[in-house]
Amino acid sequence: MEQMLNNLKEEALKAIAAASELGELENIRLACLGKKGQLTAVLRQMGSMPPQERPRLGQLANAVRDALEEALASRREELEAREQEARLAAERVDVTLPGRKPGRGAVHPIMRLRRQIEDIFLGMGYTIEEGPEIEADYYNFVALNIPKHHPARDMQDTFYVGADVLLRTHTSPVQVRAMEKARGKVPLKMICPGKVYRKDDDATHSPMFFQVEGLVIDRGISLADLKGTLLHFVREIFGPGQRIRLRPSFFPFTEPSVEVDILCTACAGAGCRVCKASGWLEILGAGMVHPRVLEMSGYDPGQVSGFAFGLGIDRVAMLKYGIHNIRHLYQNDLRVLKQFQGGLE
Amino acid sequence: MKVSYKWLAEILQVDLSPQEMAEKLTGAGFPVEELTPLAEELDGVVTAEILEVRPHPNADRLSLTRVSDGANVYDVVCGARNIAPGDKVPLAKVGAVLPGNFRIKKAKIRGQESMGMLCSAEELRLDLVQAEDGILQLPADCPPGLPLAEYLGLDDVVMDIELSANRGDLLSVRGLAAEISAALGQPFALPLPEAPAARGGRFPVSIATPACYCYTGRLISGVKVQPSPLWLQLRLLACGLRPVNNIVDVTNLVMLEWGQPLHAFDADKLPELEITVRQARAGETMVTLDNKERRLEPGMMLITYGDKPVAIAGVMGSLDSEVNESTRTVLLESAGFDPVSVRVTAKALGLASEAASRYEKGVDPAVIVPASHRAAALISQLAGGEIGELVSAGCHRSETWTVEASLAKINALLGTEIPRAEAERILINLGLEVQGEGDALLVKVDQRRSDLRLWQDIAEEVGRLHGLDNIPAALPRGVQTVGVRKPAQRLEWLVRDILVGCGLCETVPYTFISPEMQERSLAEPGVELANPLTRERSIMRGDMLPSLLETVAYNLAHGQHNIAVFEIGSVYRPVAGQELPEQPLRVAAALCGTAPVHWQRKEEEYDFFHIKGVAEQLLAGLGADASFVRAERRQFHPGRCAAVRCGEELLGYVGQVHPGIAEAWKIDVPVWVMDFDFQALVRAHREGVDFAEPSRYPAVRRDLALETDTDSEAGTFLAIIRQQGGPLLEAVECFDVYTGPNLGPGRRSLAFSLRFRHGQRTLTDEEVQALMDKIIARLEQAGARLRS
Ligand SMILES: [Zn+2]
Repeated sequence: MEQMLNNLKEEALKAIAAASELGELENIRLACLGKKGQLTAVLRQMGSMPPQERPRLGQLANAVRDALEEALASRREELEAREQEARLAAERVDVTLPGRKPGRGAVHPIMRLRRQIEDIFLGMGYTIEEGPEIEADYYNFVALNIPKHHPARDMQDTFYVGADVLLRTHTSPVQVRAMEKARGKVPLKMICPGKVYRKDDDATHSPMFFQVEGLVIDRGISLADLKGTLLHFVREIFGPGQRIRLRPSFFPFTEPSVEVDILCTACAGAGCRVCKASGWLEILGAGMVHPRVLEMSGYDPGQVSGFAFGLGIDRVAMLKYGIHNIRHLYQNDLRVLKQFQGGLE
Repeated sequence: MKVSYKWLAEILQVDLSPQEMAEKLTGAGFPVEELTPLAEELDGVVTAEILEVRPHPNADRLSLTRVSDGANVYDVVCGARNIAPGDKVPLAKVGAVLPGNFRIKKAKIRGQESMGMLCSAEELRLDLVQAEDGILQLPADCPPGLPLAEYLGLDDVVMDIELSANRGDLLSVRGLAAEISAALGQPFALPLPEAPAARGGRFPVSIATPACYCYTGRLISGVKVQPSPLWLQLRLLACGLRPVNNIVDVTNLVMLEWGQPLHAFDADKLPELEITVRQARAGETMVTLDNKERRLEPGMMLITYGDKPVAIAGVMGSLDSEVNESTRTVLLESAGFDPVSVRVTAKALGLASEAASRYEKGVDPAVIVPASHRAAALISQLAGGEIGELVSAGCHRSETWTVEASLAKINALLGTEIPRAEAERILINLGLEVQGEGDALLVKVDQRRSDLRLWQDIAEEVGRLHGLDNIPAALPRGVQTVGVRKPAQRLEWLVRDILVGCGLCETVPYTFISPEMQERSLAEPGVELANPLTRERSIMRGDMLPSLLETVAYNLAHGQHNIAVFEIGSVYRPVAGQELPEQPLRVAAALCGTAPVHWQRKEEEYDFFHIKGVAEQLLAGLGADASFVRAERRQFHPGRCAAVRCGEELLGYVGQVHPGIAEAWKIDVPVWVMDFDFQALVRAHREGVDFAEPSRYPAVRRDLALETDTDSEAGTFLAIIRQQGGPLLEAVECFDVYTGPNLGPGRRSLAFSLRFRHGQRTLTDEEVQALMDKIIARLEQAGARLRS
């Protein structure tokens, strides 16, 4: 019987080692260790053994069982690993094929910049105000110190809807409305982005374009505050190395008025074709709110002062992205729009 | 304004290059846009004297001349007739290069050698007026042998300066010189011209309108009208004006010098020597200098002689009183007209003149009479004639006023610490008088600088000439404020981001459209512009559809076949009885063509469920509880349009653009659009989240297959399922729709998957079955048949 057990073990171990798949291994297990397996069959002969032999033979049988079970387990592990390997190998995909994506649109370049500009001023405590694009003459001109027949009306060629209704030529009427609403309260810090309209149409001027204007009214606001604010803004938009240059100018609604240049974005100030060799690019108009404008909107110019500024978002977009024809911004050619799928200003 | 560099340099007596002068002006706030040389290079062209003129032996039209440049004598063949021995003319010597890169070479002309060329003004590209055509005649006292450019002063530069609307004083050499001088840190004043000796020639002048505050006239009799001397012509050219004759040129020169417009009439052509300045009467007409008949309207101011209009005051004179070669007596006008009146008239007539552009910005009344003196003296000097006495009406002394400024306030406004001495010096250099002590700056201003009225105006002058670069950069101090977007502003960006995430590109089209675009789109009427740029852009749209279709059509025409776009923008609709139209913001999108292709899928045409999916995604992102209901709209395909509602409120529509509209736009593929009212979306938006604890108990899933008529609506059954399922129905989805031959015509099958769950315990089969039975019973009542 001992011989039988040893033979059984030897043959079974050989078979286990030779098994090449899990099914085969299971068959071997059943054949050796199953209820109707060979080991059971051998043990059934235990009764015919002398009693003093039985404990030893019993131990031997258990050792054979343990050995076989261990061999089975380790072989199973091996085969399982091998099988998984084969399965995973078969599941290989071509990772260079395109993924299945929901499709990605794009925020319009002007809106990208609008968001950035808004965020910069929100960070400085400004609110965002809005107003109608078709506006009353009063808010667009009169309340901004541009009475009827003032030569300054020529500075902005205007689309009219009626005698006293027009397409706003700047977003300044929003400032007037905001000042009226604030009823003399300070501080007032706001920007107003939006569409404006002027009768211009060429490579750098569009009859519809976007402006963002800002206004701060408080006690003791100075031109120096304006300068610092704009410097911060310009550096956020165009980079920390930017500089600004203020030049005297004229707007009926500010006094003093300034025009603000930044270092040419094409040549960084060295002088090139873009900046007509000056090294500077005009980017916005600004100034200290005219006392008459303050007065008309319910502020006492003896008590408070303010600054205002306005810039064309289109112009910033053209400079920033190197777009030479403003038409690209309003033609909505998908080949243009899709270029703005990625990134963040 | 265009102005001669040399004139400014001469009057200022400073040694600045044109570039330096331009920098000074730009720094002072008046950018010089262009510096253009008055004339092209004329190397090798010299002054010369004609010694001899003989006929050319072989050509009737040519002559042989001998000319001297003082050192040598040259034989030159010439084709012009206006030459005689003793004439001083320009000689282009062999080797000279004339404008147009025309090189002068030794030549044989019809057998005669020519050692150069005598030049006409045209050949030198000089726009001069001459008594006779042909060779340019130089003054008799011209020494031979000088480079022509040097002799004529052709090295001048035309400076084109951008002026601001409030500085009428700078429309003159006098004003510009003062500005440059102040920028250089020096005061400047041009002495006022004195009255010339005058005799007789008085006539009555009266003013019958408040829009004329001063009128002066004077006769100059016995003048000889002819081309002006070259220096005067060149000076005008360097200021961008064309020379005409010695009388007109003098009026222009003095206007350029002093900023005071002058006008010269041919007094002999005036019906009567009696001037009245009055408003026009209805029905009056006049032919202006530019030979156009003008219909005059009350409100326009006229100069009349014996009641006949001879000029539109401050704008333009009449053709029949024009000064020309036959004029013997000149009537010289120098006057002051109301800026608004001149501006309104010039605008109404569509006339822009040098005079009008000055009057409408305001001229200095103190200069009206001196300018007349200066012009009269010059005319008499250049054209001869006897100067008559100045007659005038309405001219009062010019006004002065004192602006009370405070140094502290100025420094506070500028954010500077400019000392009094500097502020004073700046103001004095600007030609202003400063009084007061300590903090008080009392600035005396006259009408030369009528733009200076408030202390802030003075602050600007001080800041400007102190140098804006010298102003420090600071940030507003004071109470801190919080910058946050308002709820609707936040939602606008959320909408934008959701739609971009759905694969749509944002567009920004022109909001103005053409009447045809409006009509083709069956759009709501928009707001018409009174003065559009073109008919194509003449209406502020009342509807988003024309803009969407414009974008779709443009991109189809440019080879784009996967079009997915949206816009957040306003429409404009007139409201009766309201000044401003309604201008609601809308959110609209269009899909057209094929969805983005992928190698695992077949190419897929956009359909209703794509655009509805975008709308659903948007509404889900806003947390809006919206429903889609079949709707009919004239702009949509009758069977493919849904209204989107949130409770009672209509949010907008989704569907296919009516094929008739698409056809009118020449779009031959379906266009799928959605169009929402932004404010309605804001109201439908649900703020925040009502958090529900997830159940720990298992869900029970049941599927339902229904057979229905094809014209029934899945929404009806979904609503029944939701209603009957009650709170235990966690979710329901339609997962299959099938029509096919085994169902028979007019029938379809809808399959729904239902998931039930209880929050506090495990559901029993019986409970779920009871609910299912209830649901099925109601579905059957609604016309559905349960499929086994
Ligand atoms: Zn540059």
